[in-house]
Amino acid sequence: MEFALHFATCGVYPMFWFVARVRELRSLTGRRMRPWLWFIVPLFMPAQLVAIPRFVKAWDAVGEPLGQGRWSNWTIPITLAVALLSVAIPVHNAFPEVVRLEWFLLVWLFCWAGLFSALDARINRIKRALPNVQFSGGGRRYTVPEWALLACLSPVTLLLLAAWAFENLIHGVVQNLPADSTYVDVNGVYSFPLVGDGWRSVDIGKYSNGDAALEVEGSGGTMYFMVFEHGRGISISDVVNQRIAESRDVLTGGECNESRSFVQGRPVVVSYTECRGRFFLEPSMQTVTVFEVDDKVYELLGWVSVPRASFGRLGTRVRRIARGFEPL
Amino acid sequence: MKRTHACTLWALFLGAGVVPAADEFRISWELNSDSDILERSRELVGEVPSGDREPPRQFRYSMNVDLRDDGIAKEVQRVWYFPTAESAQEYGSDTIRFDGRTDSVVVREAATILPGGDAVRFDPVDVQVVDSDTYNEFSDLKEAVILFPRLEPGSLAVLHFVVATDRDAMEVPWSQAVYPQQPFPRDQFELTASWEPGREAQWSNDSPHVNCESGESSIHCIAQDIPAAVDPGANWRDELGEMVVSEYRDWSHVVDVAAAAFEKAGGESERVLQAFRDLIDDGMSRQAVIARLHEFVAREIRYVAVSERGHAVTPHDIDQTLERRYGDCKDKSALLTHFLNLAGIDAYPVLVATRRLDADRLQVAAMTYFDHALVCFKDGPDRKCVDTVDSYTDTSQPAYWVQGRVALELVPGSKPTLIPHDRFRWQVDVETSLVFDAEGGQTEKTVRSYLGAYAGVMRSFFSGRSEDQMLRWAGDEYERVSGNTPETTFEFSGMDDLSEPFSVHSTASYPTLVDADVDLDYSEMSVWLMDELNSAILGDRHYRSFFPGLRVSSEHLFTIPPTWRFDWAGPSLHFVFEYGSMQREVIRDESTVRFSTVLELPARWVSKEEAGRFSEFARVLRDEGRMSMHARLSGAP
Repeated sequence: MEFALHFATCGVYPMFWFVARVRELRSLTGRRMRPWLWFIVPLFMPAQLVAIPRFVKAWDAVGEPLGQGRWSNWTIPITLAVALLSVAIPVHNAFPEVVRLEWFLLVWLFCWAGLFSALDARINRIKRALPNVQFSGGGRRYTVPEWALLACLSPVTLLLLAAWAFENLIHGVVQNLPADSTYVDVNGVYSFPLVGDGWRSVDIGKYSNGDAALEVEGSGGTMYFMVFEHGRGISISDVVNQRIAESRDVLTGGECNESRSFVQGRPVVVSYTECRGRFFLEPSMQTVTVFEVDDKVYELLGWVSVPRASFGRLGTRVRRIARGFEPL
Repeated sequence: MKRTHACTLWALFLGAGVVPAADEFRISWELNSDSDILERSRELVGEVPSGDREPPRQFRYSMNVDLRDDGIAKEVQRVWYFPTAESAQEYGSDTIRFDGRTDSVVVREAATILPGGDAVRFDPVDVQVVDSDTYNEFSDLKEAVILFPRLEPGSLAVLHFVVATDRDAMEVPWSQAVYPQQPFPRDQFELTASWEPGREAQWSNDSPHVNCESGESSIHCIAQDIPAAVDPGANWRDELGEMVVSEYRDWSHVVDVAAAAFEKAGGESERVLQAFRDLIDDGMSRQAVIARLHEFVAREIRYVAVSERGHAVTPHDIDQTLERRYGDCKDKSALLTHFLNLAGIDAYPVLVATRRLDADRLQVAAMTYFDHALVCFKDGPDRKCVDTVDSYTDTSQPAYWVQGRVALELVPGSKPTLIPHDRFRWQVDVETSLVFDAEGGQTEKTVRSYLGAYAGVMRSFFSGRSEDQMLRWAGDEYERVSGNTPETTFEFSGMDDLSEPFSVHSTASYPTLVDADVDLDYSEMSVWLMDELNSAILGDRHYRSFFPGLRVSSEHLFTIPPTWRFDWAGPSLHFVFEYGSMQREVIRDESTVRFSTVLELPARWVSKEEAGRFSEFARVLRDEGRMSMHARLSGAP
């Protein structure tokens, strides 16, 4: 049950958990503690280094007279584990391409929930050993708000997990692409550089509605590109205007800029449009590179949406790829 | 537009040919003296190739030149075949070119041979003499026109004549250029030149179709089956093979002869000195002096083609030119050179071949290449040239029709060179302000400013036109270029002040152009820039061509009322290519968008192999003239 609570709430529950457990500590020991301050402990790693040893020591002081044994030997491992898990999030934000976000969250939640479940089990043993002490919940192990939280978030978490699993099942990797290479169209129409490593072509439809000619995703699924072939009657401006209109709907605070130039040494126009804004609070960028050859318009649509810590680095990578899209 | 102006200008300058009376000239007829040519031509009737269409075919062309101490005899035979009625209509006459002062002509045969073999002889009473080559101000050539009688499809036409030139009456040594390749095919070509031992004659041949053998004092050149030249363009003299025979020793000889001719135009006279004093004020800058003297000679000495009676190369006396207030380019150049020299400016006359742009093609020194004169002078490290028949272009650059042309400066030691040309002969600045109102209407104000030589073309085009005609032209032009017919008003500036650009100001109103109740999603073409780019689309060329350079600066400022807020505009352009560039910067705030576009295609030669690529480049630029913008509806202010 504890594990489910921590897991299903995507790791948010420990903030409330700390407040509740410290409030209990205060009533049991009479120590001068401010429970509301503990709300930030799961969010703020330096605070964890001080707070968690105090927390373990305080519960030891309650449990020891009841014959529950000491946890002092586990103080440093517990503190380091919480701190490392807390640091793992910003580290992943800075290097999201190393591990796919879904995998990272799954593993992280397992560790996070497991760690706090272990702490919870220890505290519950102490609480059960306490004579004549009535905790909040009226004797039930979990309060109503805790049940409500579990009831609301569990389906969402399960749904997300199921959707992710389904998507990975139906859209497989077609081919891993060599790092820092050039992708050359099999029909000899276009090419573009693959900057960095971890690029792979994936099944059509993973990112498009199935109308793309090619879909390529970057390492960790942080960025992707799609190639579209538009038939006669569609101009470069038509494609650009359509994509800019879409970006107005998708990006919050979006700003688009289009520039046109020639392919090196040829009077062939290549349009490059870059739209930047926020997508679910994360800085995001959509690129549209378009040219026309033999009355057909070819488009490379790129997308990157990552935490701010990695946006500059990965955004540059996406831009270099998008700008390198050209006819052969 | 530019080509139209060029033609118009020449028509204005040159006027129509004058028809002198035929009996004023020494033309005699000995039509029974060469029955052989008729017989030989009859034999050719059976050799007519089947399926021949226009143009006609020249079965035979021969020229025999005999350079003697006492004169020059030139015997010419031409036999034509006309396969269709259209070819007879187009080419059914031939001409005998001669100098009215120095030459006498004997026509030995002029007849039509009908398909059946019967000959119909030309009646000498019907000869017409015209002064058609007024373009060339360095000749007094006349043309006797032979209209072949009773031509019908399948006919032959025969012309045989001898032109004798009196050396004592010649102004300058003899020289002549011949072009073996013509717009029609030639089956047989033969040119023979001989000169008396001891006489000097130079000759050259760079026609790939002709083989020449030279003797000690003669050359004999022949060719068979020369194909028709295909669309060689206006500068065909630079492109087609050429044969030149000349009595000039070298270029110094040409310079000496021409400079001596200009010196004959006289010098100091009280009238000249007084005119100079009247024109120049104390304290005028050097540039102001040049501009004032040029303006006087260009505008107040009327242009008249007067190269007759010993003035094919020799200008009239400058005192006479000043007194009569008219003259041709040589007369006006001689006067301006003298004025500038009086002002302490080291000016000198320059001969110009206005239909040649390649100095390397002048292989033999001769006067025959040149047809115009202007004045050049040192201006710091540069050489500047001004054209005295051009009263519309600022003195900072020569008129467009002499820029880049082959020239010979009449200073010792000079060789053929080129008149400097602008990097961009056609320069236009376009400034457009477009203001949307809250009801969705738009007011557009545009100023098109033509600079440099382009301003000269525009002034010349508008000279002599009434204000109504100018306004009608401006309205038609606006409709042609923009495709719109709004209520438009026009004004013009810079017509008289040559130092200013020539500008056309227009104001157009569109009462309801867009829906004011929805987001503004608007785009517009940079139409004037695109229109100028049409001149850079060369199309298929059979020969190289000279692109004179085009620079267009275009500023579009769009302004919207507070009910909208711009959130996008574009695209910016960065087109850089081997032939030039087009760059556009887009600057946007909530209520305005400015598109600043600069097109630069520098002057250059474009080979026939490059013409397609060059045109494709220009076509792509032309199609990229669209300016787009989007503004969100933000409600009432």
